[in-house]
Amino acid sequence: MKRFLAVLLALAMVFALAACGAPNNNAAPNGGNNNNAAPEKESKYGGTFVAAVATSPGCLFYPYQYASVSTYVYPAVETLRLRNPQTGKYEPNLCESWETDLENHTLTMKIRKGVKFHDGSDLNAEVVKWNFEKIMEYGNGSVIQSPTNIEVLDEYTLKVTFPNFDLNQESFTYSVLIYSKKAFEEHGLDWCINNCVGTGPFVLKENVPDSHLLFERFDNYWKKDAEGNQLPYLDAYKIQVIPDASAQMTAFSNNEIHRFPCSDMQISESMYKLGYKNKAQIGEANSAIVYGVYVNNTKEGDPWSNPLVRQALLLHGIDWKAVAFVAGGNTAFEIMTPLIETGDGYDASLMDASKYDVAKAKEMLKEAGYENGFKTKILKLDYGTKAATEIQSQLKTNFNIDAEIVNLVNGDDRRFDGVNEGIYLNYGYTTADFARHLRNMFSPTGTYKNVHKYSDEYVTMLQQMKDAKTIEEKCDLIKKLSYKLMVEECLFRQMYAVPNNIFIQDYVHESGLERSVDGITPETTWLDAAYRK
Amino acid sequence: MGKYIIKRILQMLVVVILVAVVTFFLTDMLPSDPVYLIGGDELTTEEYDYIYHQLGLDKPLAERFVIWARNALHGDFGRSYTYHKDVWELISARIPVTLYLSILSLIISVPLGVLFGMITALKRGTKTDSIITLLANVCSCLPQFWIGICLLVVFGLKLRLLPSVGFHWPGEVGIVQHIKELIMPLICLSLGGVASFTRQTRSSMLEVIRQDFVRTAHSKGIKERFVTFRHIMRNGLIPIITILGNRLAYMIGGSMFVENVFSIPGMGTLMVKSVSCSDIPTIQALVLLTTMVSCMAYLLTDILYVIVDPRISLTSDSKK
Repeated sequence: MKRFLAVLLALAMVFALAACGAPNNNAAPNGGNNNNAAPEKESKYGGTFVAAVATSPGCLFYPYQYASVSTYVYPAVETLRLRNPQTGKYEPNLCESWETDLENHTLTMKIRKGVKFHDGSDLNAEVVKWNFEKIMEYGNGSVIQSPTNIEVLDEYTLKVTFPNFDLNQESFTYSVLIYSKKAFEEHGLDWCINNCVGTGPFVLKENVPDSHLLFERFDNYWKKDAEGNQLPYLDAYKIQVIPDASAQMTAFSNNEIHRFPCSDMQISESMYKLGYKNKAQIGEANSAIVYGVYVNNTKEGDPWSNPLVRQALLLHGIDWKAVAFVAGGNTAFEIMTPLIETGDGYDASLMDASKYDVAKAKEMLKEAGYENGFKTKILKLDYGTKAATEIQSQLKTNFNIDAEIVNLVNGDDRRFDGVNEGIYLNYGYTTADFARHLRNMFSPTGTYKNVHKYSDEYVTMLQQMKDAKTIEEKCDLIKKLSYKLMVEECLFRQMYAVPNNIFIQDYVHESGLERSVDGITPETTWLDAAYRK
Repeated sequence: MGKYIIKRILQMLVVVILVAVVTFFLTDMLPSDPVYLIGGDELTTEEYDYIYHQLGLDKPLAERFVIWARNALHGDFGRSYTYHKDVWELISARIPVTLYLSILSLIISVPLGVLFGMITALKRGTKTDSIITLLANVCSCLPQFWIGICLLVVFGLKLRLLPSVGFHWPGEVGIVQHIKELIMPLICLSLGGVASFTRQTRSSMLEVIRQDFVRTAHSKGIKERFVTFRHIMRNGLIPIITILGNRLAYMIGGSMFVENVFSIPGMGTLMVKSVSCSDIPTIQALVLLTTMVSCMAYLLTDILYVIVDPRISLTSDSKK
């Protein structure tokens, strides 16, 4: 028996030693040891960049299902234009120039010549037209403002006509991704949903659901750097799916991944303790998760159908700073709107309408006839537990309001059916395009159509915003609509924001325009030589 | 025996059909709306209607069940809402990974568990017995995901010896990297198994040790090693077979925690994702498949039990 045990132990040791081997030569540097200055004339080429994401992509074909697609395909597929996050201005990309005709509601785009897709086909006006038509065919026409006509003027010129003038014509070209028509015709929709053929710097080689997406360098990529060197610098780009936040942290610390966005407070704090710094640029679109409260005002006789009650509670009765701290931790802060400062129609004074003042709120409730409180519901998803409990406690303590917390699962249609009275807690991301929110969510045909009853005045203003002829007019209307929605009618307010933490290894270098929604430019990313595996 | 197997297979079919019906109707009762899950929250009415119709949700429930059952019988479990792939294609890509991990884990946990069980039974009442039994009791209580996170912190974060995430076949990354990737998930999957096999082996061997035939063997002066291996072990290990089937079924279902922590694209990850995304066709297929695997495992256990111990009969006829 002893001999058997000894052999077994020896085998186990050999196995463990062989497997563990030497520690990683590229031991993680201390995160605090910033080393952004690259050695002079060092070659930037080579290596594989690994970015972690928490979930696997559902679909890689933007025309079929646009939500979240860009998070996964940005190394391979590009947009017509770029948005400079610092200035908020649009810059050329696949579209070299563009012209807007205010009278005839048209947008004429000059498509860049000499750009090739990964399958060797050419990018031209016909291909862009086909992309737009596919988006409409799959019921997503609103993404491109539902054009009435798409006309190819010549090989590289495309004219799009819209039913009415909308300044969002300026913005959709920033988010719409352009795919190869040839690949779709050869392989069909099913293939395209799990693959992507674009003009980007990397070609998709592998898509293993719940594991990774592996992209390899595209040698015929059209962009060059400032010195005229061919882009991209990296050999490969990998998007690794790691659902568990602790595993993400460990993998980052172990140099297995180079970048991960983190919304888990505890993990972020652990990362700070390990010496790593948040490299997210606060104040940009998608840079923070925003949590909001949506009121159901459609129930006749329900306290929430009274605007005075809504204003009393949402603008003065709840200490949102406390809610932010309890639910979002140290880094969370109170906000009113998801719109970022460089976004069209941002209004800093909106915040002034909300001041925590219990006495004022009580007075308003008394005026509305609810000085003795009432019964209501707070509908929330799992992540909303802390915020819901804090709101419930404040409503009970300050106003004797009994709020029952109803837990919903993700995708529960009770969020939008308007059957339950009360308020609903949801989340989203900071945005540069609040007009889109207003159109798609807060309109009589939007997501909250069964939850919100909008005033005629609001609906009229919404239409005016859609028809706005100048950017100034549009911005002005966004401001007015925001005020109407969040203050006067008080159907929605953002509660608090939690900045996204993005951790990037110090030996990763970025330059040029930030072209993806997450602020990554895969073509100009490069790694220090010691870390190019 | 043949009759018994046929009877059990028929019972199995009833169980599978019942599970299929219950799963279909329960998943339909979920309050989640797959349309929003697929299209996101910012859907216009037209976009919503388009996806709703595409998913066939405009048909009555009974009609949808009939369509689903008919297709399932032909091996067509529908299309995943989340992955946009045929569910069977999705599952068949994951089965080898989960099965590989489960079998490796069994290969590790059975011999180790039996070995530790034997040691504790033969050294009953000693310090060795107390320590191993205590450890076995502790390990059988520890949740897999917790073990996983502890291992990540020690081997990944502190020692930086092992990769924290991922799974690749040896042909893709080489055998050394493959073994490195396996160590932590296998420890997680096997620890509970080792513990339960240790406890079961110990108790069943102790029961055999007290039997008359063992005492007789000792009194006849047969060598201790011979008595241990030929008499005690042979008879004491029979009950292990009963938990072997249970363990395999448990591993297929229980791998979800381990796979999720270590980002292994197996059945467990698929189960977690499909449940969290209300991917109804995938949930239905996975539940059905897990039920079938469990039923098969239990049937095999019963048959094996008879083979290794001819004293046990499974049919009333053989009793006569």
